[in-house]
Amino acid sequence: MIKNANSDLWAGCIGLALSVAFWFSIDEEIMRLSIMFPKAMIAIMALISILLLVKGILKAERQDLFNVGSNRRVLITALLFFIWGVAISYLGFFVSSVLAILAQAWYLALARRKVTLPTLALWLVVAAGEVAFFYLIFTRLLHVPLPKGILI
Amino acid sequence: MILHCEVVMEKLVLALGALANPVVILIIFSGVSAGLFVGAMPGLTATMALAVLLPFTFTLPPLLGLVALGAVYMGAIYGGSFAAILVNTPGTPSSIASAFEGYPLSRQGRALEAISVATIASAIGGIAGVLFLLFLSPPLARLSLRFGPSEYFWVAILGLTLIASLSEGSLLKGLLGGTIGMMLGTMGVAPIGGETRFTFGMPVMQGGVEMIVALIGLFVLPELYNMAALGRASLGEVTVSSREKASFWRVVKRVLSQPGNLIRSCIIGEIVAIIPGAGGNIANLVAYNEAKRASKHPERFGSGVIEGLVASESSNNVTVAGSMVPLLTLGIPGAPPDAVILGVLLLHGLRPGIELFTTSGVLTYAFIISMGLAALAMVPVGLIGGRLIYRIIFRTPYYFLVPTIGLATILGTFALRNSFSDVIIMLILGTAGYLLKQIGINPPPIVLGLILGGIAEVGYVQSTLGGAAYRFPVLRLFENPLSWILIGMVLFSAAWPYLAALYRRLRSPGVSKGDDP
Repeated sequence: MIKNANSDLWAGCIGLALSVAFWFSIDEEIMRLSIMFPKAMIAIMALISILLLVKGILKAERQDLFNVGSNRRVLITALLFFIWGVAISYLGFFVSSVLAILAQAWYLALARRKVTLPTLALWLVVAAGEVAFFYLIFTRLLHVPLPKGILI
Repeated sequence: MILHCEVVMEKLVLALGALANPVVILIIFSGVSAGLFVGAMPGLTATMALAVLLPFTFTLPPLLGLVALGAVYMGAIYGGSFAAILVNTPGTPSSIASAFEGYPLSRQGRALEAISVATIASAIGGIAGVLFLLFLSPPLARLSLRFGPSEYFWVAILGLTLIASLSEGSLLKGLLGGTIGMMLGTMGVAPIGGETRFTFGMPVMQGGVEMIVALIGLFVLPELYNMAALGRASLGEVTVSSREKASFWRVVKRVLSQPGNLIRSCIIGEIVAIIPGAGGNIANLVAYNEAKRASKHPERFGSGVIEGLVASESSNNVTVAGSMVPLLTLGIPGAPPDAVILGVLLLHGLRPGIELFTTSGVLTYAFIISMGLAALAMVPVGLIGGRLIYRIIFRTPYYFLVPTIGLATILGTFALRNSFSDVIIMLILGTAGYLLKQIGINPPPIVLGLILGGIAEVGYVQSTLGGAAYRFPVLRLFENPLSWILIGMVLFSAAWPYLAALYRRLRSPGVSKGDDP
């Protein structure tokens, strides 16, 4: 948790950093037609960011950041989502999704209850059934080709 | 004139006769149910549902095929509200504003009431759209033809003034969110010049940021992270309200007791619908904003106000039949799903235009009326389906709810373009959205910027190209009378918070002193 943070200053810095990143990624040889509108938007974004910075210095809006619940759980949940997203291409949709659901369910459940091995085995069956349901809908009904990876 | 009315009435009666068939009714109910399921899944769009259904309609007679498409379309737009109300995740972009009031209602234990309100409002909106289509098609089609690039630009700017409403707390942070969204929209291939921009050296970014990918990431992931942080589902520990509160007739009365809101939202939905390319994505936000502006207690919006939900849901369902006005009269699809319906019409040798209402009048009127029937079918289907989905979500432990919603989210994102880059972009945007939310930059203005940025850019660049003969090409934006009307609306909309604050201050001096509009 970050206590009593100056959120205007944070927002202004992020906006300015994005403006700089977008501005310096403009290709010099790009035609005017393709860039006139984005350039105007970058200028407006930079202006708003500067106004936020000025407000942050003169009349700051202070608040506690990341003050809801466990930040560690958020971090690990996010990490698991990213691993899941990447693993689908390698392990295939079915296997990676069953493993990811099981891993997330186990980790998040620890906040509320004890998870025994038989419970985990039951959850494995539930996760497999759930993924199979979505798998069949998408591949058979909607004809969306889901990646197979090295497994299914 | 009288003769013309008689001919139309005769065709309407014949169309009703064609619809009085159990197979038609069965198709309507099945179509609405399938559409509801698709709409409730984040990432699955009405266009996708219609595209999937398309091959099946080839084997059906033209009327049944069109009825099925109309019912799925109506159900999908309505179904988007379920996810918005229950998990703060608009199932389709047409339900963004429904989440603003629907989700707070759910958190108060009034989820079933919110679903009932959304159902009734959607049904009313759907029927209103059909009535507009039946009786006002010619003048509305003429109006839609008057919208050129400069008018599109001003429509987008008018939409951007909504940021003032959507920004919770700081207007500056809302505006920053809007510009971030607009910049996200500029990534990839330029709509006019055709060159790639802002790819940051990554070839996958050439395809840009798909609006629905951003919508899913920015709305769903922060909610899932929030559940993870709290260690419980957002709805998991609320007290379910009494049955009486969610009583059907009570809700019907509640919705019908706001005729002004309903009429205004339906008219907004219709006007936005006839502008090709705008559709429900924008209509729900504009209608929500106007409901807030017209309210005696705008400060309560965002905490579970029924009026906001009614405005959003009635306006987005008007656009279903509303967007058919330019389609059936001029052959211009008002929204992406309409392009699929245009394909079916052409496949059966039906060419949009006056012939559609004369030579093929019975079929056309039967199709239009069937959309009204689909709107009515939403009431039983929605109330039963809504309760079912609510129970599933309410009873699922949070530690299974998070990965299950995650699974639907990843699948929905992937299915849009069969691209895993989109999944990664969605995860990055969602995580960034969670972090930005912490410092007061909320997802709605970002998504609004993303939706409107593309429209504004095309309008701006095309207008200046059209004004190349002028010394200052930008003056082309101010040339037409319709543009000036829109400019007036932009100025009024932008100044409204200040005007309203001034009005309040004048009425009760001292009380609202120091209000930040």
